[in-house]
Amino acid sequence: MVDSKKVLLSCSHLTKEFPAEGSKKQVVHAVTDVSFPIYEGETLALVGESGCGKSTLGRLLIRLLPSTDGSIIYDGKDITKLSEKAFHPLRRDMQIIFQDPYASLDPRMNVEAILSEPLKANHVVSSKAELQEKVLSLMDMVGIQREYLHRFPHQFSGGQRQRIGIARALALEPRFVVCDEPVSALDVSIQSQILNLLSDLQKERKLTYLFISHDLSVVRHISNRVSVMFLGKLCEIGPTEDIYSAPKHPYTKFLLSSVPNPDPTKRKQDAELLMGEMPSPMNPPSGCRFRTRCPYADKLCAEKEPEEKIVDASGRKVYCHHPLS
Amino acid sequence: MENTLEIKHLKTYFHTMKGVVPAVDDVSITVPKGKIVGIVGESGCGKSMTAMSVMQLIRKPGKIEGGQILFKGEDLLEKSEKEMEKIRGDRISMIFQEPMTSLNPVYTIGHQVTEAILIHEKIEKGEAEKRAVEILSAVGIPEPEKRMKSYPHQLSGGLRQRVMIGMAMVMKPDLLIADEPTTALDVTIEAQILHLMRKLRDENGTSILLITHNMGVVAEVCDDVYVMYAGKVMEHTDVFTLFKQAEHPYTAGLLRSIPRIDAVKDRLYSIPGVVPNLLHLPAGCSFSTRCPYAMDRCYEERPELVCLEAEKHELRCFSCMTKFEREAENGRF
Repeated sequence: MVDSKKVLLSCSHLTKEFPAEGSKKQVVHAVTDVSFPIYEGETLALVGESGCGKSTLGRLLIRLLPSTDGSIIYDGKDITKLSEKAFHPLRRDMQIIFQDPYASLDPRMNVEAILSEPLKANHVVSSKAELQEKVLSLMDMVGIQREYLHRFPHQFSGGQRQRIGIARALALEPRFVVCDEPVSALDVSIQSQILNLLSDLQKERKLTYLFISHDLSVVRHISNRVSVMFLGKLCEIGPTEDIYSAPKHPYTKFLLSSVPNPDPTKRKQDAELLMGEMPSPMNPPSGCRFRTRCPYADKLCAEKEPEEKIVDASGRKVYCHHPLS
Repeated sequence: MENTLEIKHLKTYFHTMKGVVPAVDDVSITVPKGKIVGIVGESGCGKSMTAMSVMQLIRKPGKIEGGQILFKGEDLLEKSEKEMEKIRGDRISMIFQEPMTSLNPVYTIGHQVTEAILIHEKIEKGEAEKRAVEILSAVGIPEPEKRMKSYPHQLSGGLRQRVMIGMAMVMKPDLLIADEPTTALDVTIEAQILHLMRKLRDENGTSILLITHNMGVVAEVCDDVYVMYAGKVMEHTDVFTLFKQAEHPYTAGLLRSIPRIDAVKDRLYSIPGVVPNLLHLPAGCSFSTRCPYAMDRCYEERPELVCLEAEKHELRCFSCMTKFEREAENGRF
């Protein structure tokens, strides 16, 4: 778990708007006014349904995408304001592991080339021998046999490819890694191998993870804290166990109760179903964005955006006019 | 009890340049009337190919090499392509992981649902359109009148899957084959779709063959479960026994390796190794190379599927059988 409460990175009022396709006036509100700190050594999970903006937020935090508004403080600097040149040395500290291990590796590069590229580009090795040694040690770290050095991505299984993706992300010894659905494309028996690997590497290398996932069972297993997003805004953020045992935001509650439980004696009752469809991010509802699907919504929810409320001693924050008790 | 579908000793092989791939190897599966039967397994275990074989949608180099597919007592493998065309869609419906591929992109939703009704029932077009709106509303599509005029690409994945289930409801098929119907969907939508499938079974008596890799989905809706690995059924039992007392080391390993929403574990169990290449299967049990309980015999001989007595529990495992024999000798049975 997290020993210290040292903030590694924090964002405030982070916002991203994309121009809507085919319309000059409209914008897609992908991420709106999101603020939270990420503590050193923790795994903060980011959960929500497709299109809620969780991947966009992950990319904003490591500046793979420019933000529209708000700030991201890392090492005392607001990285959204830095020039590309000034940001370059910090880029090494922040890496990303992608969902699809089939699409995120160049099919024309072998393992050696894939793992050498970041090392060469950042001048972290001084000789060919050192480069070779470093590449082999990265392969050892993620459990890819050394004799596969000259193999190409298509010669590996999905799980092995994800291991190569992890090795590449960790080649420059980053401090902060965004894991964007890293196990969603993998089979069940392989998924647990990769989750265990990620946990081991975190302990060994004191990594901080932002773990983006729609799989709430995986998130419960791997994270210390969870943030729940709906249509570009935060609903709730706090310690994983607190949120799973007593969700305070109605959306969190529906999300958790929708997960099929691998126990046939605990089948769901129909009353727990969340009805309705996701509103459009081009034209989000006024006030609380969840209100059109929320059974507790009233006039206040339509008029006023819910503000951040600290609901318990653990510092859990909920963005809701009528938090559950 | 009457069985809607009985697959008996089905063999579907793929004749590739590199050799013969036994994608479905001697698989027998029974779907009783009004039941939801699950086939669970990882990529490449043959679960989808089993379903495609029932529909006879296997393309070259694949070929059904043997066995029977009895649908309400009639062997589908003896039907002509013309007869199969009548059965598909009308008496057996299939829904897929990506519903976009099964809807026609150039026609509106309303057109496609209405067409399905008109093929099935002898009614006026106006009447059929009214029925279509009712169907869309019954599967929980908001503003169904408006959605009638939408094209498939204008709908979300969850809505498209609902249209597919709606069409299946129009047809009132005897059997619905659902191949990973919720895999591409979010959890809240998944819960709605599973609810709809149960409703289809309860209201129309439709039997459902559900193919999934998700143990949670299996636990939520299935009555009976078949666990497949490398083209073979490894274990078959009712859903409660499976989750309470899975015997096969592969099933037990799968269940132990999934993170649980209702419990926290420090470290996940993981089955060592990877699924074997179907072109180069181990000489003995196909799971032997990854099995923690493998004995000498497991590497040399292929185990048969054995039915445990007095129980509807089938197993393909030497070490389980040895364990039961020992228990029987010790008088614990």
